[in-house]
Amino acid sequence: MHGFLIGIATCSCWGITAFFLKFWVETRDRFFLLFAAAFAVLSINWLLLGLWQPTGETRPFFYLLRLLAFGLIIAAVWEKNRPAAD
Amino acid sequence: MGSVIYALCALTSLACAALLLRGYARHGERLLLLAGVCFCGLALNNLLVFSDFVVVPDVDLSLYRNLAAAASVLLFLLGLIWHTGDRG
Amino acid sequence: MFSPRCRAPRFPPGLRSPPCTGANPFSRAPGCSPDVPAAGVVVESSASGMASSLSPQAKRFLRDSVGSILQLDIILLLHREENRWWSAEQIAQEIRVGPTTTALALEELASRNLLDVRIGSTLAYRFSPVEEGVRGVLAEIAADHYTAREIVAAGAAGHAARRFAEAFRLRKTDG
Repeated sequence: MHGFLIGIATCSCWGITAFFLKFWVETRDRFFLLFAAAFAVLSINWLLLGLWQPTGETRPFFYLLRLLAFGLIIAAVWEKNRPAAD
Repeated sequence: MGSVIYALCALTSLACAALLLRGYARHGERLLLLAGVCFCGLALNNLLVFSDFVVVPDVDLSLYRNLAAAASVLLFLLGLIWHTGDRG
Repeated sequence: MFSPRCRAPRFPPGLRSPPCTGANPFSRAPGCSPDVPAAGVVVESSASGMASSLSPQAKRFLRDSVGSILQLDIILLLHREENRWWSAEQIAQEIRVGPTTTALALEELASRNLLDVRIGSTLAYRFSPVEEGVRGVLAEIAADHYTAREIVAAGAAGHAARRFAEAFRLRKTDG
C-alpha cells in the first residue's frame, strides 16, 4: 500500500512538473520554472523514500530534498514579488 | 535537525495554501482552489511526518501521511488537466 | 514553440467583414476580408505571426481579462448593447452556444468587474466595467476582432496558469 501511494505521489509530481514546464515555455516566466523544479525535486524525494524507506539517523537527510523543494517554492514567490518582476 | 526541516516544510506549505486560497477568494478561479487544497494536503503530510518521527515515534502514521501526500498532488494534477484549457 | 490552430471563427451577430468565399478560400473578392478563411477551413498560424494592429492596452486586456473565445464573443455582444440586460439563456441563443457554458463564462466575466449582475427570477447581466478605459479598449477590439480572437486563442491555455502565478503576489496589483 505504501509503495502504491508513494508511486501515485511520484508520478503525479512528474505530471505537475510537466505542466509547469509547459507554462514556462509559453510565458518565459521564471516563476513556473522554479515551481517545475520544486515538484521535480519532490518527485525524486518520494521516489527515494519509496525505494530506500530510510529509518532513524539517515531519514532527515532524505527530507533535505523536500526542504530544497520548498526552498525553490519560496524562491518562486520571491521571484514573483521582487520589484523588477512583471 | 529533522524536526526543523519538517516544521519548515509544513510552514511553507501552509503559506502557499493561504496565498492560493486568498487568490481563489478574489478571482474564483477553480485551479487556485485545487492548488490551495493540494498545499493544505502537503502541509498535513509534513505535519504528520513531524508527528510520526518527533511527537509520537511509537505510533506508525506512515499510511496517513502517504495518503495525504498522494491525494494532494493527484488532486492538483487533475485540476491542472481539467482547468488549463479553453473551456469557456 | 506554441502554434495554435486557429479555427475559423463563429461570427458573432453584428460583426462585419465576412470571409471571402470561392474555390480559393483566400481569394480577394470585393468587400470581403482576405485574411479570414471560409467557414470550416482550419488555418495553421504561429503565435509570432499574429498581426499587431491592437494597442498594448487591448492586448493586455485580452490576455488578463478574457479567458476564452466564448468570453470574448459575450463581452463584445454585451458591449454593443450596453444598456440592455441579458439572461444567460438569451446570450446562449444569440451566439448559439449551450446555456450552461454561457453561464460559466458570464460568471468569470462578472468576477473580473466587467459586468453588472441583477438578481431576479433569473440572473441578468449588463456590460458595466469598473475601469474607465475598458470601453475604449473594447471598441478597438470590436474593430479588429479577428486579431483579438487569435490573441485569446493563443493565451487561453495559459490564463489559469497566469492566475496561479498572480495568486503569489503578496501585494495586490491594479486590475
